[in-house]
Amino acid sequence: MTQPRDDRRLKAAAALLLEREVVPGPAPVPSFADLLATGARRRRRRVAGLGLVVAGAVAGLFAARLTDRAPISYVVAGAAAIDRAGVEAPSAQAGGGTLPARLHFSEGTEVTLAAGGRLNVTRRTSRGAVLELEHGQARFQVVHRRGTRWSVVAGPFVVEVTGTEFTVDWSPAAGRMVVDLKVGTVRVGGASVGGTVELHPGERLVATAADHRLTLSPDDLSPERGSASAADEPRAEAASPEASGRGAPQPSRVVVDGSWRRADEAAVPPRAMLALRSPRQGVSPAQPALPQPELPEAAVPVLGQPAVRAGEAARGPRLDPAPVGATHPSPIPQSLTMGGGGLFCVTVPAQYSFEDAASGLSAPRAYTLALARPRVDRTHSWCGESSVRLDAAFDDSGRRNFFGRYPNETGQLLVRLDRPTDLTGKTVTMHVFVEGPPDVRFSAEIAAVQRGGWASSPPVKELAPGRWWTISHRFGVENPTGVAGSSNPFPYPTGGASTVAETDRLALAIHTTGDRRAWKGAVYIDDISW
Amino acid sequence: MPDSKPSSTERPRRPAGDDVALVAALQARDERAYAQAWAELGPMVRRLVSRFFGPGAEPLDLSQEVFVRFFRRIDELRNPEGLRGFLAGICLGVARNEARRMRVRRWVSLTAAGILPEVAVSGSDMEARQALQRLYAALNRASALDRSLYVARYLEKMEVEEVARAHDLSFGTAKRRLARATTRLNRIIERDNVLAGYLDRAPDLRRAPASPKLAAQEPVLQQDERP
Repeated sequence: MTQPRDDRRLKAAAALLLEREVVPGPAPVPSFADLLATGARRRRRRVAGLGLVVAGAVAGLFAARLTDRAPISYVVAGAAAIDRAGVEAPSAQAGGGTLPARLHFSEGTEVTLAAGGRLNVTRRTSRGAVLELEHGQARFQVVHRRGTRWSVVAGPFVVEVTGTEFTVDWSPAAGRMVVDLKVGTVRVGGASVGGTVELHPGERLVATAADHRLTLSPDDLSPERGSASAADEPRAEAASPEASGRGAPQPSRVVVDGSWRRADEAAVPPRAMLALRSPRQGVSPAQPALPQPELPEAAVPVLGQPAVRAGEAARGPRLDPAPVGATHPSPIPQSLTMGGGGLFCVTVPAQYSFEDAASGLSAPRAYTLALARPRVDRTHSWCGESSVRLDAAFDDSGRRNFFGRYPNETGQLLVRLDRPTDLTGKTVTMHVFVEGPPDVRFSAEIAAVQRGGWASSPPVKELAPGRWWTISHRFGVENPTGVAGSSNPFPYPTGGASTVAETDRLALAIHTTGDRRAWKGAVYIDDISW
Repeated sequence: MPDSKPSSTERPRRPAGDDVALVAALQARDERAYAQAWAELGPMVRRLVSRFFGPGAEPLDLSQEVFVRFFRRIDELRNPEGLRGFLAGICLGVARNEARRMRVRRWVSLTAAGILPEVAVSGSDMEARQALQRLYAALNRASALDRSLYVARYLEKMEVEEVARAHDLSFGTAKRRLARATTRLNRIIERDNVLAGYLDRAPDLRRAPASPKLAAQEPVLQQDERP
């Protein structure tokens, strides 16, 4: 409504100006022939000057490149045994003290090798170096410059660096690497990664060769705390007190499993890079969450069993008897579909394992319709012998919903909890496997529902079918009710935050994100824990 | 009411045939045509320059630059009937560049602090005099493009299509930028209570209906469904 008033005011201003305008009088005719000739001369001079400047800049750049081509050099300080390209920090002094070795590179990068570690400088260029951590812990403070290329090789893993501060701990005996990132960004690739995984400040990556696992987590939440080499050899403290300093805990983590291949196998083409990021959003100021309209829930189907009775729904999804396994052909090898969790299943018990016939499961019948018919299935599992299967049919048909999404663009599994559960400060983890065309891409997110208020995690994007993914989110005291990019992107109904002290339902939403918009398949969800 | 004599805002139209002949002569690099163009189109350019910069501007210097560019680019004019719009576009471009240069000069040297000279207003309407002074100061704070759009639309009374052509914009973009410039200029005016009060009190305009051409299209929220 301000536009007409604005317009009126500007018209009034124009009238004021025009009423008092001084009309310019006649003016002598300039000599345009001379002015045009002068302008042409000036233009020619300007072009010549510009050419000189460009030539000078090119010559300067060329000279700079020539001088910059020499590979960087380094000096070793501290107690270190040096042989050829390798540097070894002695394990322990006679008095029991430990001393790190320090490598100072000519362009400013510093590497501190903790006592007992060994590092090889396998290649040096003008832009960086390739360092091989044979064993032990090392802290890297890489100076970022344009075109910087540093790599740290630890067994079958490669950490690519552009300019950052991080610690790598590699134990060849245990086949375990721990990367703690303090500043900047690194990408980890190699044997079990199947592409590259990007780490952000405050995150810890634990990669183990023994159980084919790669875990990315906020480092204060890591289930596999401690150094890589602690298990198999007595080792010294980190090189610096800062190395053990942790950044602010991030509220979510993502664990990537499966798709294992041995280091000696031929390299597969890398997947599209996984965007595995911790959420950057702050918590919105607290506002009372108004109840959201209830999504109609489907009756819980159990294979081979009669429909669940109304009274059983409140008992949660662990009901007997065990269902008959559904049989449907899958092109994916069973080694990838069954038992994806490996040893993880022993160490992390799940609250909901879906080993038996389940109730309390539903798929919404409004607004997010891509997933339907949840039931227990024995062809896929993260841990144990079964998971929950939902039929998936994604497409862009229909009318956009309130959030601007097509109804079949997103699907959800809703799990009614046994009892109201306090998830404050807890990390909820779910495992999901999508069966569909290989070029499908999707995102996944977790939501906690408390009396109709939905607190969603940021979506984990660019996931691909054919492997198990672990999606986790840590809920705080107050959680934003609208998360950008999620299936619940706008704070609804009144915005603000929601607590999760009495969570009654959990949801996992799958949203198709790739170029292929219409596809059919199945979604398997297993082991919910916190 | 101020007792100064209002200047005409009507754009004098010449027969289209005259413009065609003039363009042909200019494209033939006929030096007599330069003088003719200066005589016929010079007042329009000087008026545009002085409307853009307000009092204290040197319209003659800038007008010369406008005409030099105009003669240099005359071959780009495909339709001779669009001569005036073409010239106005060049004129506004030169004015915008000059406004940007003036702004930079103000940043790097403290001498030209952007203080406008006293506005020459005949008569004794002190309130109008003060409002005009403040209005020029407000326009001076606007960006070169906003000011250019304002001059073209509100002072030169160009149609949106002409504004678009003069600023080398598409019709839709010109419309959007005009709406944005209107909002921004109003925001500047609103900071000056005296000026805003004076403009809101302008009696003849308060009764005038708002121009439907400039009313921005309010976005229609598509709320098909609720979750």
